[in-house]
Amino acid sequence: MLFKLGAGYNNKIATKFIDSVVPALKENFFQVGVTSQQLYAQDDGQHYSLYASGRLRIQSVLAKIELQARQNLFMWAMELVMSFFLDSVPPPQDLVTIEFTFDEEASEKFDNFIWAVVTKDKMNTFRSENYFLSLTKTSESPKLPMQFVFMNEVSDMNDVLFTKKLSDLLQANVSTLKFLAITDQPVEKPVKIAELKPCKRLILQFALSNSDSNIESIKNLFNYVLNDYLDLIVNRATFRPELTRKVKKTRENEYNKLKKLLDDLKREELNTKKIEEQKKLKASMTPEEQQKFSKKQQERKQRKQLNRQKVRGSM
Amino acid sequence: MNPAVTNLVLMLVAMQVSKKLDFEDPTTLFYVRLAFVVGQSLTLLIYLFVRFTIVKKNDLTTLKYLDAPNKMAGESESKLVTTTVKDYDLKQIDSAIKGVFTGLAMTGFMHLYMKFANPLVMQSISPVKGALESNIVKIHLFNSPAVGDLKRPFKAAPSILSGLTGGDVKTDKSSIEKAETAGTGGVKEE
Repeated sequence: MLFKLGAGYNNKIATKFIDSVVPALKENFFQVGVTSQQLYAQDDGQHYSLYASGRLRIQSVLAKIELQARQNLFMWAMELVMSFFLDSVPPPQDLVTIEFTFDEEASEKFDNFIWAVVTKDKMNTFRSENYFLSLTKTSESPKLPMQFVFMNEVSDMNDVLFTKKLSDLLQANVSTLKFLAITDQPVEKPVKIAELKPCKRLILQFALSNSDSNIESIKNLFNYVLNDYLDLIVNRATFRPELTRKVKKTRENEYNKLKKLLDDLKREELNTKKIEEQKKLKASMTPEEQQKFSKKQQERKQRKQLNRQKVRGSM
Repeated sequence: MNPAVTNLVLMLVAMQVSKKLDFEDPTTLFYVRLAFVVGQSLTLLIYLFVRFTIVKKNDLTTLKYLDAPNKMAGESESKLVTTTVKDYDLKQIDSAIKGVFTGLAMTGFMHLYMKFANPLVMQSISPVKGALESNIVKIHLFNSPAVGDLKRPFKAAPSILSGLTGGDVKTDKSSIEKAETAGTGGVKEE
């Protein structure tokens, strides 16, 4: 009974949002929906996703809705209480994250950079949850509504990327927008070199609610991004070399850091392997051979040390 | 006066007073308990009122600082915290409120389970004193300007434990700038 009520409420919030954005998606995209029959996928009582693809410049759009665990009242209450007492447990929220991925052709037309407008409320969590935001600088600006900050790599980019229309829409979305970000770096911290490769996208995150006015303002911003803003980025986001130098430097630094980490790991692995092999070898030998072997090793060590001293002496 | 000194004096006085009191006497016990409940409620009320004013003021000025690394948790580098004055204040006040509940649980355990009445005397005054002396209450209840010791982020009071938990917060510009673009976010959790 309670399960149905909670799940029903969640369903209502999710479909309300989906219904509001689908018309614009249908106008823009060839295929809307996870399959040709199904518009959205529901994983459980609190996770929904919506997918569309096939538009000029955009490879795909993926909207992930994550609602509070209302279908399980006990869990929900637990989360609520725990979030007050423990910092590590985030308070339950209704969120939707929309990710527009640019296709390769469009990606080549504009520079690599990270640029975001983030709500000030709990902004530190956004920085720690999103790798790309932790590469940026936070700065306040009179251009923005008081509730938001810029998180970007180079602040001169604001002039190009921030529009009057966007500012008005932000004002209307003061209570709903969590962040709007354009990034070429991933959300999760890369652990492989390949993951550092730029993949350009625009990410929007909103707080969802059952209120009609909120859904309306979310829809307006969503439509603006979809109809105008994405194209504006592709056409205008090419910067002077002075601006992109810093951006490139950040990427290089991150690459070097990761490479060093991976190399260290590899070396360590090799070392442990070597030691194990030697142990095995030793175990299979007779006592006399063992003695001989350790003597040899010691000699080798001494020679190495001598060599090192020589090098230092010649310097 | 230094709060640590006054706390010590208060503790000694409370100990002497609780020696004089006869906790076997139901009336005394009743008044001691009453004082305890009043003290705790007063503390909670102060904190809740301050919390209310913080939310009402809604000061969204950005605040950046480097949090000291928690050495007990095995952290070695200090972490950058980007927040607003409002969020920072709320964090302070929430931890203070949590503190009230922890104190309540401790004293409750000692009194109800172990049948000690002495802590009640001490615990009816010291939380109120602590609340009125805390930086956050000074700023919002007494409207003291947030400068000097009251400048956010607050410095931790020196204690023996500070060596264990790591140094102090840092606010100088160069270390903030270095930490800001360090790319520490988005670490995948196992």
